[in-house]
Amino acid sequence: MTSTHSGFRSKMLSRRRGKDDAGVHTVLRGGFSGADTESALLWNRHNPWTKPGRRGPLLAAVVLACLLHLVNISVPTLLLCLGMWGYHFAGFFRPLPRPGAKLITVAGALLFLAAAGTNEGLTVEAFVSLLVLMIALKLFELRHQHDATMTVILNYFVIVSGMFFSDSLLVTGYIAFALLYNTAVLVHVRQPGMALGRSFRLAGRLSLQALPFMLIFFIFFPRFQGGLWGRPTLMQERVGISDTIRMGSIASLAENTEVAFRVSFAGAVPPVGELYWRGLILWDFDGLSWTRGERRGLVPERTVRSSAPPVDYIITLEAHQQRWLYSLDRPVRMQQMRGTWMGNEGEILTWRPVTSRLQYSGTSDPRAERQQLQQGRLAQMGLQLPDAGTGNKRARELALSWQQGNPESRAVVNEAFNFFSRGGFRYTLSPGTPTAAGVGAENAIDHFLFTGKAGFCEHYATSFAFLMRAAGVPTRLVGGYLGGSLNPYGNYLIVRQSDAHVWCEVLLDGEWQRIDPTAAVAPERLQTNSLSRLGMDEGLTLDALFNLGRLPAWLQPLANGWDLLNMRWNQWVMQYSFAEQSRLFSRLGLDSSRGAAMLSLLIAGIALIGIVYFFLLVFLKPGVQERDKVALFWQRFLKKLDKAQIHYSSSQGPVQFLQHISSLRPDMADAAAAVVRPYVRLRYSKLGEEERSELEGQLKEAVRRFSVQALPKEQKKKPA
Amino acid sequence: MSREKPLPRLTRMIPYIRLNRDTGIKPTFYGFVYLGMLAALLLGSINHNNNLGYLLTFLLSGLLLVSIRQSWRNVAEIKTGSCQAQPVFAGSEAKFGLQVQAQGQDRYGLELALEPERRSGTDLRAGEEDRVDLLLSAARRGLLRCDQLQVLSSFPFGLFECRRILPLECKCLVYPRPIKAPFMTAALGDVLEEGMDRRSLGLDFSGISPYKPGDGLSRIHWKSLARGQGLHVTEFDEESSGGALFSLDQMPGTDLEYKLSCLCHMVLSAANQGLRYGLELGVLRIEPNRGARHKERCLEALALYGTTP
Repeated sequence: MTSTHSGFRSKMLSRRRGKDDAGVHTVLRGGFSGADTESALLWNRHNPWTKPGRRGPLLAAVVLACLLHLVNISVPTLLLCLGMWGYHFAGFFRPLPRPGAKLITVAGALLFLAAAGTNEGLTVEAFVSLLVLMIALKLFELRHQHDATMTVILNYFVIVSGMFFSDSLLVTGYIAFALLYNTAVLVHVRQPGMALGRSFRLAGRLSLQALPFMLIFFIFFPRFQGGLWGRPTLMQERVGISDTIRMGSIASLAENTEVAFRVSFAGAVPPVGELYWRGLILWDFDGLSWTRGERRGLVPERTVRSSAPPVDYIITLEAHQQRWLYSLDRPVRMQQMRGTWMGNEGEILTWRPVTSRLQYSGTSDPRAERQQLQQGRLAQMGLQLPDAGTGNKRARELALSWQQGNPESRAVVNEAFNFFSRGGFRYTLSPGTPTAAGVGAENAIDHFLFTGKAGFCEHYATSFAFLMRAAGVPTRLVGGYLGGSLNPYGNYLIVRQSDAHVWCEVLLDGEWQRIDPTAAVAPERLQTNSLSRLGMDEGLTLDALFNLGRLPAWLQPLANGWDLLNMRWNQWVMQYSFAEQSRLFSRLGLDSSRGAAMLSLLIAGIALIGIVYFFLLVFLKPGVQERDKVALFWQRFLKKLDKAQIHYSSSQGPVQFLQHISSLRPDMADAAAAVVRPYVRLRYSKLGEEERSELEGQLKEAVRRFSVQALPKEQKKKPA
Repeated sequence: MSREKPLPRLTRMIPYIRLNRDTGIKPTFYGFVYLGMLAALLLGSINHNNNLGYLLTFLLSGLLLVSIRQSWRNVAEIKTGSCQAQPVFAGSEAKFGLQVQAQGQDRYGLELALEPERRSGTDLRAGEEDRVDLLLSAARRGLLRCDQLQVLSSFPFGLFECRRILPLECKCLVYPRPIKAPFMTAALGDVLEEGMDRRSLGLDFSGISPYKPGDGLSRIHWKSLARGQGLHVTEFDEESSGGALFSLDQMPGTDLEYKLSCLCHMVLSAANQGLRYGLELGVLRIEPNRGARHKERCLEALALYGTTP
């Protein structure tokens, strides 16, 4: 520590003596006494750490590390952070005052409050915003190598915490690049005498050398099922179907081409019209929105399999921060996982929110029946509606007229289907809101049914459910996805957020039957995938490039290939878990149930690498380019001279040797001088990195040009 | 920053883990910070079951391991040449000039030290001879010897420090620390205050003579120089009378080191004033004389008095 702090002072001393600062510097004990009396400017010509050459790479590393998080942190923290960066950047061009220690302490406390206050509680985002702000603040304190080193190590932390937000191939690539850059900057900070380019090459080489260690650790490090403690929640990734559905909530997903989950089927892919991905059941309607309600499971039911062959599939679900999984309607059996169970209504529920990508297998029977076992609380749940006076009066009247005209529930459903298909309804991605039309939200259904007549699937489903319940037919809402696009390369289905869908289940003849009112209005919705609905030929946009969902048709194969790569990356690397590890170990003939075996294997692996490493270290000589280049050229030169019978003896200095050559062969004197001059400078004077490489080039070139010709004739005539 | 924080002090106290006969390794303060960060990342990865986290954590661990090899290579194949130092006074630091040569590859961030707390950082070019100044505290008079050189490097990341101990032979003469004391000479047998007029010492001003190289600055006769008569030095009568003889036996007190220190100061101030002086240390007697060589001889005698060579 002492040495690192006082290194700077001694360097200043050596500069005052007119020495090169990369050269010899003596380190004294006692460290820094006058450090804090330096000029309080960001740019101070005496302190090397205020120079753009030193600060520049560091600031770039900080920006590179934080860039990934800028989308995750709140707007005030983002603005604060950008402001501080701007100040640092401006400091490169003109001297700016630097805040004192007290101001930094106060600012640190304020930033802490800003980070904690603008994010909702103790989330990962709050933690990351705090880190990002603290690093930006730390740059103000940059005075010694110590500060720079700490900043770089903190940077590592920020970069790697990007793992909480995404683990796609693209993000992984970015993180790897940021780590590489940060490592180069660490070398640059620790070794001021080394040129930046050389630091980069070294960092790259070391990273490559670190890869085998990474692989061994990754494969053999014991995995655990489930985490250690509760996971802090992520605010960001709550994209997808939520547990509250109101008009417009699904339409907002219509243009979101993020992947919700991927499905690979054991057999053939079922027809598109049957790909209903069931998520959650919504019972309660409060006049505005549908929620799951408190009384789930009070209407007992069971699944009765049909004679049709079941469909087996594996779903890789992206983290959606919700407590349910998706399954193909209707699920018969799901993979047993800790904290996961199948609810009464056939929902697959989890104990904890899905915070990381999850893979599970399932079996479904699209033609299975869900039979009602008892009445239970059916009247309260399946027919629940807000009180009659609260709104949507016309819809209630319409439903009542259907009920009076048709004693059969099935006939009421048909009436509603007729109403939708012949009533002039339109299926649209961007329906107007009732409030925009001057209608209160409590009358949204009336407005949609009798005035607007344009809507997305949730408009049809929620209105249909409302009408059914008003007509005395028990109905519930189902949220999930419909369809998906097939990736021809990997033969799996990609279901995106834009495939989100809402439909109804109606109790007919003691059986909950799937009724999709959207089909009455837009039968094509069932047959196409969301990408074709969104229109792919609208040209290449930046958004499309990042999401790879809405690319023009000619780029679709590329997108499919990229998605396949992502899928494989997820499958082989990101999904490598306890189960895969056990399988691998059992294939290696190890009893995976014993943790000790794994641990010993891990240790053995590390030891093996270590042994091989030090073996190489001891017995392998460094490569030619790392050896003394100058000596190599000199040897070449001497070998050429050997041909002319001129030999070098080590008692001669190079200059003496040159005189010797000139006296023997005046014709070669110039060419030899061209070699000896750079050689002498390279060997006997202190040179900077650039000058050195230039001289090395000169020496190499001169040696290459140097050739021993036959003796000129006049010289041959006068032999001594 | 001059106060050492507890954690750096702790890392300084941690012993080196021996890798082989002469090389050892230990984490630096930053190494501990880095290891702490790795532990936090690993915990986070386990808790979130995040494979990307595992992957990156292990990549950073791999970097740490690989960097150890770099530090190792950095301290290997260092050749040392001559190691010389000018004599110093006790209580100060001896400055050794060491010839070093790095073989194989260029070295960055190399630190050389004769004792742990006094390091000299340097960068070395492959195959190039370089001179590095090394400091060694000279606490006591005598012949200061150092038989080992520590070659340290935390290249490239500063996370782990590799230390190699090389045999080295270097010596430095350490004079006693001068302690101000009244003049006491055997010739006069009297106690005289320093700075007293020379004439009261009986050293009569006898004239001036032309300047010869080696004459003390304090003896230059400035008046004649001002008159434009060239450089001259003052002559005192004591030249003929044999001058002062500083004797150890004449010194009061029992502490030998203290007495030697006082003698050292006398020699220095006498030399500074251009006086003729001699030294008597037990059986050793240096006849009164003046000049730089004479001063060195006297100081060396003081430094080595009573020490076994």
